Amino acid sequence: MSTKEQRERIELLQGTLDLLILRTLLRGPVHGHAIAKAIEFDSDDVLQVEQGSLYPALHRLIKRGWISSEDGTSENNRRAKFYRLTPKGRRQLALETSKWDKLAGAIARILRPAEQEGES
Amino acid sequence: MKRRKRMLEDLDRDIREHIQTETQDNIERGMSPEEARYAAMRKFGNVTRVKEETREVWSFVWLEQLLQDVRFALRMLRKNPDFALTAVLILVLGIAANVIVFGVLQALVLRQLDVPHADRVMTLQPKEGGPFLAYPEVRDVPDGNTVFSGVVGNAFGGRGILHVAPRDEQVSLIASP
Repeated sequence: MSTKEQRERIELLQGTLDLLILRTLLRGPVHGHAIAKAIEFDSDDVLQVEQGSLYPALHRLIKRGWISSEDGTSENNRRAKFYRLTPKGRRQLALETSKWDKLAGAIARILRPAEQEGES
Repeated sequence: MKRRKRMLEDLDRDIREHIQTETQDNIERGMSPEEARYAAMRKFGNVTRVKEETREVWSFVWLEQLLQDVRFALRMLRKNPDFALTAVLILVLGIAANVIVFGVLQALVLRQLDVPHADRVMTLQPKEGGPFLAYPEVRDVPDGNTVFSGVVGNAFGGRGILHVAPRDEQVSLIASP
């Protein structure tokens, strides 16, 4: 873990954490720690989540009605809060995903010519 | 806002559990317990800040801060009576000056005459030159007039009505002093 820390880890862009949380919850309800782990694992440890920042984001999503929370028991038998995607959140995820695709595509189109110039 | 209260009450526990789970993971990865806990804390970030930011999600922070500012202002004013007095005096003078100017303006310009159909009362003034008509001109106006029900002249200086010439009896103007 610490070997990657200096090399390839990238801080999350502002606003992308919400999107990643929603995407993670698509697979079913999980607790906070598992969300952080899932984001790191799914991104091959490239994305660095300051784990604490999950909580304001989770509460913000709850307030907007995109996710709900319920008490449950974690895999190692601890009481924990489980977060679940609501139908509204599912719709939001679809919306945000297409927005993100557009943004990423546009930035890539701008950067690609510059890359080619650098190579030649 | 019951939900808010419950969410925030659970937050402490959730954060504690989170750090403990991360610590456990680290131990399983071969760290010493102490090292594991330290790493977990570092990974989580500033707990106090996280709590603060989470609380902000639910609270009307701006309102709380506004109240704080108001209380602080009152406290400072009480602490510096001279300053408070100066500020109050400046405000009083400023507001009074505005009230007086507006009062005059309203009496002269904005207020409608205290007559029936006040919105149909017009001021006559020559196209060129000063805003006043000479007495003979005032007297001439009603003679060729087909537009106004009546014409009234008032001597500048407030000495009263100079000339009243109603075309018919529908409107009679009474100049207010």
